[in-house]
Amino acid sequence: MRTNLVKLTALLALVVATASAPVIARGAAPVAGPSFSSIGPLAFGPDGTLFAADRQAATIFALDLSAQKAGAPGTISVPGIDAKIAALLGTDAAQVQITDLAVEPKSRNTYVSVMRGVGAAAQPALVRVDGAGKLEIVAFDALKYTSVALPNPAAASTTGRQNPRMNSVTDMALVDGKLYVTGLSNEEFASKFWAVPYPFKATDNGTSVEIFHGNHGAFETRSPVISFVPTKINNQTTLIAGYTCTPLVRFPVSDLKPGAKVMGTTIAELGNGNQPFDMVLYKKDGKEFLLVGNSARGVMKVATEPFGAAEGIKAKVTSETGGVPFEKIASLTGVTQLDLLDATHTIVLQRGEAGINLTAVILP
Amino acid sequence: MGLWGRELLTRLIAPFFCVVIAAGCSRPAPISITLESDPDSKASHMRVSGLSSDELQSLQRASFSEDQWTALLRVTVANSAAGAPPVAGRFNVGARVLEFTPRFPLDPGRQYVAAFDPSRLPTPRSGAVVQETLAPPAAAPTPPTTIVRMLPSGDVLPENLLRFYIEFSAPMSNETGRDFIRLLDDAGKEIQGALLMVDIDFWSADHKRYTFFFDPGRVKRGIQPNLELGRALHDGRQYTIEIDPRWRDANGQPLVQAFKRSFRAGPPEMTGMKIQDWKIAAPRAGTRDPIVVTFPRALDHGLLMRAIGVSRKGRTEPVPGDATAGRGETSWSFTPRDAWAAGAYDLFALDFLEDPAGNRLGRPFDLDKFDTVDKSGTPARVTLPFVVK
Repeated sequence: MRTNLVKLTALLALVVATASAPVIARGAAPVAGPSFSSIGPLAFGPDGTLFAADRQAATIFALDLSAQKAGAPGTISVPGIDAKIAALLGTDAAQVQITDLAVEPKSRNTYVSVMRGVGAAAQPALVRVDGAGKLEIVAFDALKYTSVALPNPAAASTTGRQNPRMNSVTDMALVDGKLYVTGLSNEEFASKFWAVPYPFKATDNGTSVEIFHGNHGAFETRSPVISFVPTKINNQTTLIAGYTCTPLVRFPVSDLKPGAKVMGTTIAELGNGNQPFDMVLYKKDGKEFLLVGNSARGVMKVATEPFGAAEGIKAKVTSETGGVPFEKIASLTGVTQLDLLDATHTIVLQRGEAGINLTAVILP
Repeated sequence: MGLWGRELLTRLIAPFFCVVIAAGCSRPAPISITLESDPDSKASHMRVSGLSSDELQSLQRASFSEDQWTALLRVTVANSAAGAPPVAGRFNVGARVLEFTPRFPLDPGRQYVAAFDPSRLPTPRSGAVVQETLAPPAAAPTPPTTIVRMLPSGDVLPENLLRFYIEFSAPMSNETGRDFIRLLDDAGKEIQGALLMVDIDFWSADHKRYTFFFDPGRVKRGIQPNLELGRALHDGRQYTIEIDPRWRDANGQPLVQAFKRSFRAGPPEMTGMKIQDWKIAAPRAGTRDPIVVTFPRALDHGLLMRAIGVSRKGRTEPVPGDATAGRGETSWSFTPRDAWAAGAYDLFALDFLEDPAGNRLGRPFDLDKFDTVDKSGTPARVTLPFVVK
């Protein structure tokens, strides 16, 4: 009896406590996930690992998305995606900054990195767009991840001053077990290319080499890389890269050794006042092409077949652009981000009159 | 337990149990929706009251999908576009209320619409959709932000200048500066294509300093943009950098006013620097007087503050203290934390030090031949000895 009375009293106490408690939480207890201070750019590894750069913290996170509930496969166009993401995040489009997009290689869902808010309290978010056009926020708190911090150069430290130097990651790609990362500094005219073994190890934050540009054989400068794409040329893993000073260059991955001086071979000039921000490779009609998204000169299609044989531009180019031939895709205007969606489509973010559109476009 | 015991328990406990239930919410009441804000965390959530205990228990038992939850309680940003999704968040069922906690804190002062559809309860209740427009309290006004200065600070800057720094009085937003910075010629006309247009913004960690670069394709010799357009700056001409006051600070407010900075372009700086050209005014032993180093040309402000230091002769760790850049970044002074001891010292510079045109110690930015070997990893030190007496 006593035992039962105690049990019943305890039950009543629970009823009273429950009645006065404001809320009972539903769902699983949160697991500590990656703590981003900012998010973007993004790059997928072939196994579906999402590499997400935190520019603010100079850290790369490798996110395991395998536990995500599947969405409808593929990605369909979403007009006004900036306003829709803003609504999902509880704000308006002026408070949302889309920093990158990347397509998951198996599901072909598109992941969009976003900063919500414009100020110091802005928060990172990752949004998945699926084949039904549904937008869903990826919860960071339950994600498995690993991370690596990019090396920060030494400083002749003095007291009382916060170091304002920061690296901004510009592009990433996983090549033969190494994550290659390019970045720009807000101080020195840096030109570093980091190579970090993946899976990340606690004791190894990689090596870096300084990238140079031989200006048509006459002058040589440090030249940061804005975007790049790995490919095979003559059975050699090669990076096709765009410099801040616009030329398209190639260099073999085997050249990227610490202590070596890495000089890209210029294979094309893409025109002045222009930066290539995204590049993807695709095949069509048995030939390989490079699709280049540019800041000022639209989207270009370049056949890669001459890349291996191109000797490099060494003389003054008399046309506005030079090197290997390319075709401007006139129908693609206002493109700010692009990735390969599937064998026949690219997915792009395009500025329209009413905002930013996510559009699946047939590969040209 | 005997019969007597059960009887006693029923008589003692039952009235108390009924009181508890009555104090809960045994019967349905009119639905009301309120916005609750935590004064400390500033987090807000929507609270639905008026649900009966049966309705709440059935909600707790229900395995609702996300779509079912949002059909029951849909929270949207007021005046959002047609087809816009509801605000993402978590639904919690309490003993008395249903609560919606948004994934991200609601914006102060912004209006949100919460609509509760009683027909979407596990046991549908009759009645119309209850809709409320609610807004968290607006944020307190904050002092406006101004531009403190632009660097380099000299009146004459080399025509192959690579970058400028803008310093603000308070943290700025993460809006891109590209839309707010213009380079004007001496007639006040904008020079197109002068600045590096990349989809990246170069902020310091505290968002109080912004770096913008001149398009290196036009600065560097021998490549197409330079051959076609030439440099944006020309020796002997006057220029103005104009900052649009619509650039928002971290609190979303525009700058107090437009900012203009004029300068004259000088000849290009095309040679590497030599530490032997620097002049040191050594301090006296036993004082905390600053050491003052004077350079024959301006150095980059950001790198000047990071790449130069003082160490005891034969040692590498820097002497602790505070450094400042002199007028036009042509000098550097350093006040030690502790008084100088008599003896030999080194002024040292790390090899990433640059002038505003990107020239380094011993190496010009634009090298006209390919004859040096890259050094990666830990920056090398270049030293200049001095003695404190």
